[in-house]
Amino acid sequence: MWSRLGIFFSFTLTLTGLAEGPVPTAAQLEFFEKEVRPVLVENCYKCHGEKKQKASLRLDARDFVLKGDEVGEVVVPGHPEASRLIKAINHVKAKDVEPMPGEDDKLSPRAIAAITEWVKQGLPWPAEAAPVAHDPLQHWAFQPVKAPALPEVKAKERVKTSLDYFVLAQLEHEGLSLSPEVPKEVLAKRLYLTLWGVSPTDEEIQAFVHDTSPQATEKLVDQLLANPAFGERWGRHWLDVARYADTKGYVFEEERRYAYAYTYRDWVVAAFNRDLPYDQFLRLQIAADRLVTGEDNHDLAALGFLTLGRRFLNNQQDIIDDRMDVVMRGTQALTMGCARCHDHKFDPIPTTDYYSLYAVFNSSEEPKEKPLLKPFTPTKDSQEFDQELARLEAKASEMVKARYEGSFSLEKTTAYLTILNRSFLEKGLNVDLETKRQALYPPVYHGWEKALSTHLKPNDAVGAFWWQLREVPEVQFAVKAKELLANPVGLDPVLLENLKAKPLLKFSDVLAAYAQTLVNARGKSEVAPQKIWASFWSAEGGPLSPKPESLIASYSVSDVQGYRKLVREAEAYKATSPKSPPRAMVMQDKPNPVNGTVFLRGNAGRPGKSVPRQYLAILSSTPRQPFQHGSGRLDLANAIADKNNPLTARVMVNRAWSQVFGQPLVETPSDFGVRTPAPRNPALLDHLASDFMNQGWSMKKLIRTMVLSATFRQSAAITNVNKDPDNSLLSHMNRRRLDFEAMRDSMLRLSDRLEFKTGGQPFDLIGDFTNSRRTVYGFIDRQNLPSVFRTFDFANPDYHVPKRNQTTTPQQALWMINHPFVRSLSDSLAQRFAKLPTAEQQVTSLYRKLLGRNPTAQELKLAVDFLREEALLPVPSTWQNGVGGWNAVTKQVSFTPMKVNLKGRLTPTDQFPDPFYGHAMLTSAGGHPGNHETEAVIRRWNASAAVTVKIEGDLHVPSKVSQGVRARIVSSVHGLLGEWTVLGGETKSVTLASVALAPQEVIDFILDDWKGPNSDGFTWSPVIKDAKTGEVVSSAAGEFGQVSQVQTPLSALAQVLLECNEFNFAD
Amino acid sequence: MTPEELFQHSRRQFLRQCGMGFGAAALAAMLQRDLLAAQPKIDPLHPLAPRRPPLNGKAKHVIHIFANGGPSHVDTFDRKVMLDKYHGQKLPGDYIATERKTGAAYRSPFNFKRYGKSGLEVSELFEKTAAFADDLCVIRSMKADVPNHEPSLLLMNCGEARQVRPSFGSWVTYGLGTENENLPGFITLCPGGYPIQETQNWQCGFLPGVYQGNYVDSSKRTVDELIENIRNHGLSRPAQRRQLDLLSRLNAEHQAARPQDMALEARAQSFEMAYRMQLEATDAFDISREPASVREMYGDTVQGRQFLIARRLIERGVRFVQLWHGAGQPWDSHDDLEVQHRKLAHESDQPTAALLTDLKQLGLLDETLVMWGGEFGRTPTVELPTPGSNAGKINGRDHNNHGFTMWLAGGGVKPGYVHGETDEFGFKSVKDVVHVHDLHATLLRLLGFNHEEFTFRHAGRDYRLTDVYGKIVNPLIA
Repeated sequence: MWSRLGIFFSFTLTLTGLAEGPVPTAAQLEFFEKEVRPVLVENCYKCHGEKKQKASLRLDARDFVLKGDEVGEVVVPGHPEASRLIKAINHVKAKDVEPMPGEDDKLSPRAIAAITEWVKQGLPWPAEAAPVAHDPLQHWAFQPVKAPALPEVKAKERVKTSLDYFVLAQLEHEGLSLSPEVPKEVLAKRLYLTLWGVSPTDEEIQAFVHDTSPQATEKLVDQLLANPAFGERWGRHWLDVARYADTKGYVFEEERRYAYAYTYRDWVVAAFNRDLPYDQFLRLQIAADRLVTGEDNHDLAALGFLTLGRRFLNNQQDIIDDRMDVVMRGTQALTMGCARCHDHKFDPIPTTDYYSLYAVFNSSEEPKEKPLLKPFTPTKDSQEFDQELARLEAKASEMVKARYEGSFSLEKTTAYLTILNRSFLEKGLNVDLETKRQALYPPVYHGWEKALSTHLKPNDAVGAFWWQLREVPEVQFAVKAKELLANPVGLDPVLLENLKAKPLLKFSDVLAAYAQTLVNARGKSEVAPQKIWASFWSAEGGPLSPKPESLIASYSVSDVQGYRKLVREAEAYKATSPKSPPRAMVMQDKPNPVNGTVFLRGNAGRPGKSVPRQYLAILSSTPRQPFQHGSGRLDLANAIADKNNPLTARVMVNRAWSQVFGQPLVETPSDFGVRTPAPRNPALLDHLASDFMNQGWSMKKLIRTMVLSATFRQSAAITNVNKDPDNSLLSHMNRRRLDFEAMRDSMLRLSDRLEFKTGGQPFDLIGDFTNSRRTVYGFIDRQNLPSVFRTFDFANPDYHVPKRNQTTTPQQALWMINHPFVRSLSDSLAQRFAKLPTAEQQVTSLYRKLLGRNPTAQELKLAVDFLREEALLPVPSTWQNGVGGWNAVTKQVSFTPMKVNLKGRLTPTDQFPDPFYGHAMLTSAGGHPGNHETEAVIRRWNASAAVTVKIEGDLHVPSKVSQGVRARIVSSVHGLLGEWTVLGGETKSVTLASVALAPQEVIDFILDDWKGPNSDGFTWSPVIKDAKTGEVVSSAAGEFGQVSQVQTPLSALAQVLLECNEFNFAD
Repeated sequence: MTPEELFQHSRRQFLRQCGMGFGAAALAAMLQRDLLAAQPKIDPLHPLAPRRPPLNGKAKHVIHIFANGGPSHVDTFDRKVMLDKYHGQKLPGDYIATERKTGAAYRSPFNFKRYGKSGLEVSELFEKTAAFADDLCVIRSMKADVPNHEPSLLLMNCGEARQVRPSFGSWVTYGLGTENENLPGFITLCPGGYPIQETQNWQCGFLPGVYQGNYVDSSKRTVDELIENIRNHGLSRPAQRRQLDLLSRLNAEHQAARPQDMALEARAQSFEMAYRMQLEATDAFDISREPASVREMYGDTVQGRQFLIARRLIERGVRFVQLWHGAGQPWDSHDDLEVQHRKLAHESDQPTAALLTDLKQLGLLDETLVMWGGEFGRTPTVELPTPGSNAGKINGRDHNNHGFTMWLAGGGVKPGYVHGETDEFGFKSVKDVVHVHDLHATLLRLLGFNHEEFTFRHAGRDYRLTDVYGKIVNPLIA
């Protein structure tokens, strides 16, 4: 039974439970009023009063003072010396004491004395009404969801679905009613956009309009709900909530792409399509690892909800905070974030609850190997993928092995022994630092230290020689060494042999012999003569004991970079190979779950009290049970998906309402906290929420009820500005503007370019905006989200987004009028309809195609006039790039266009250098000529309109080896306009102050090798300006590589229809 | 006003008014509507409309010159004679940890001189900027939290080291809108690519996307390369005008049947603004329209060009311009500091001086807050070699968040003033310490905001640039 009785919060204190002091005397009270209270009021209440309770401390009632702060009690009545409050105002330096009121604002001695005396007296305080603490339990959102009775309405004939009763009742109360029902054409567009997120085609509108059966709308709605396009639209709404992206954000050198984020996206889309009950939808996203059993494990992908957030440079606390945020705001509309540092100021969420949930996520981990989604049948592709991945991963592990093995060479071993020796001689030597400085590994060093140290003493068979010589000065060394060698009493014979092998002139020769002995003995058997030396290697904690991977932390910067690069290559392969089999971004319980520890002020370095893993007090039955299963995520999931949870259904109903009607019932869809006012129509929300649960948490049924309602079907005309100014009563439908996805998808669809194909790896939306796939499948880079997403108010993938912004900016329009996407669609539409015999037919076809209707007579005339006039206006100038040259005899330019564009470099053929054209090529900045005057590189500019221009630009040849180049500017009308030669290493300005151009005049900018093609790389990109205004008419660099194509009037008209408000809004 | 001033004033007015997307009446109405509101009221249909801040603020624009990577304060604006004395010796006192291990004191290889009436000591690196000693407000006691680029860049730009928060420029644009709606309100120029932390440095966080910094690769030269979608390559200007006339006509008809819907009106209007933006932006970024003398003053270099663009943008009413030195972290001189710092300063000193000269001449300095600095400074001690990082060289400095220098100019800051001190070696700020949060609080005050009240509600909480920190540093304000 869900019971809220007896839930107790520290700050909803009833102020009775704490120790009552003795009844204060009159003198004590007078002292309090005169000396103490003014000090408190003036110095403390700004931070520790009714409004703010820094460190959870409140000082405006005796019981609050006694309750103390987040650390514990602040006063011991009668004992100022034991009271942290007194230490604080005296600015005593001690643990858990902060100087108060502040380092620079120490209280006067008189004030300190007064407070001290007051504590000594036992905190006398007059009997007064305790400050009333607000009771959050009374907040509307925490009341159980109850199904309200259907209200009486007058306009019964308008009711289509049950929700209409609630809307009508409020409207009628204000003397209003629903607006008239819209024509079917309008309803069709509304339904397609709401359920699929694309505009309907003309044929689809007509089919609906001509379906005269009484159930036509129901039929259409069911048909739309049954199509996979529904999940693509509604899945995307949930992805806003889930702060979905395909990348991790800034992670320094790590691979940024999540290889398998898309499996979560596809799971969400599929969940909407199969109408997975919402409670189960949530359970799986929080704890699928505990719920999925059996062969088919596709539901594991649901855990991407938790795991695909930003990675904050892998800061664990921030990652957990993000996961808690997405779960708690996403499903409960409760904001936990504040409670990370202090009890939530308004909502009943103490820090203890924050850290209870924190512990749940802290008891969960992501496995290194992500599980394959099954059933999965290996294919040729997947086998190839496995092989390639294994090859890439082997490269990284081979490097690790090689570094490990390399550290046991003779040379390295000598170096380790040398440091070991220095550690005996040099006091305070930082061996770790020294080891690293020499590109050695501290773990290996410590292995040697452990294995050998005990032997380095006077009479040891192994260490004596070393021990006795290590401090001998170099001048006496050879003699002393000889002496010792001559009489090697008790010295290990294997070592002795090596010591004798080379003359011992200095101590390093001794260490070299030791190293040689050790290296020779590595891996020798127990019975070999080197047995003792072999045992150093295999000693527990010896040099071989560190795992190869454990040395990575000690790698040099360049090795670390090299290693990370190899790892990244493997990760990148997983993320980008189309053969990569799908895996789930799961989370699983750690073997040993941990309890929570409150971090004071959110600082992990200041641990406070310990808390169990359990759900929020405000949403728990009494007595609260700590979570039972593993990390507790399953318990958390069940607590959220519980029918008795007052928030879960309300929150989702409100989200769905917002998407269908264009404005939510509760204004802040992800904040149902105590400061959020009840919705204008609370009965409506509760009706839908209880219905939602009673219908098995079916999203499709919920949405169906909404879109079939009379409320949804009413006109969008604004009618009752006075009585319903912000339309919160829904006296009309809200006109909707197409959002980013709906805009792109609709444009593609009505240009016959959209392909309905579900799922899979993301496509590069920015690189190929005209890709035929729906926008929901585009790659989303959370770190550097391309500007077009922001320009069109896409959900910021850094946050859980409850409601998208909707702005209107010139950048949006700029994109519409100039981006190649709109142009490309316009062109293909125009191409198709250009075949029609008359302008009237062309216009009519475009109208039908894009707006689903015939043009009015006036529109038809406007459009036909436009087509005629547009054809008469000047076309833009164009650039072409080619090879050829100017013939001084014929005064003609030969020109062969360059055809191959490879990464911004244009060349005549796909060979470079080409046997005929040599190094001839052009880039936006410059290029290189071919081998002769006749294989010069040419930028050709077609002026289009008559205009007087000036031509500017600098020609620079960087290489001093070059014998120079020659530039010519040649006009198709006036012939050679100028000629310049520039030597290697030189720069010259290539300008023409004034050139009067005829329409369609062609200007060639020709650059040849002049005296020889060697090292003739150059930079030169002319800019053409209006001679009078200085405005840039055209620039070679700016327009380089753009296939300049004059837009036809019919295409320009199609573009107008794609851009117009009628296309981009739904009535 | 002198006739010159009047001319400058009206030129500026003209440049800005050309930019206004609406008629004068609409502008007046807009200004009135949002007059003096404590919280900016954003009209989603005109999110960049100019707004007045709640308090009086002298600064109307900001130019943030970001010497990314961390310029050394002891080699530029904070001379330490004790380093000469202790050169090559261990500093007395406790070892102060930074990102990497450092060793002995390392004296500045540069000469210092005193400049101006204020006698500000500046090294030869910034001798041209130093000519403005009496305009600069130098803070020698800056402090950040950690000696690593990523968190420090985010702290300096967004007031929070790890989590996603709006940048200073986004806050300012959100608070004030912009004076020229035909240009973005917040433009960030960085030649050759992104700095470390990339676009997060100018992110809008939870503020609407329209307040995000607009990145421009200022190593490019032509407007097509500088601004996306700025030109149409298929239609000549008259043909595009004719096309938009038709669009406007269709929208008007559509709207006539749907009265009182401002969203339709605003969207129709936005096309007219976009049409003008093509010209306006082309004009703003085309520095070839400046007289040769002005271009020479800035220098025909990447930095010179981008500083000049910044001035042209501010002149046209852009609210916030950030000038990054370059991609990555150019000022990060872990080794070869003398060579590296000399090169970097050489690149930026002349444009900086030119910018200050120019802003003064145009009468713009009073209302433009210019800020220079990095995400932190550098150690007065020499960095010790680490395998694979500084190739065994011992001639650079490590990161230093404990103490560093920034300077401000214009926009209502106290001119010819030095605030705070580091210790005698320049390691730690010790007197009148200014934390980055304090700097932000002060900058907001100069722009007319109380940093404690300038908030945005997100995730159930009111957020501010300074989070729960920050104190206004009153001595910095004139």
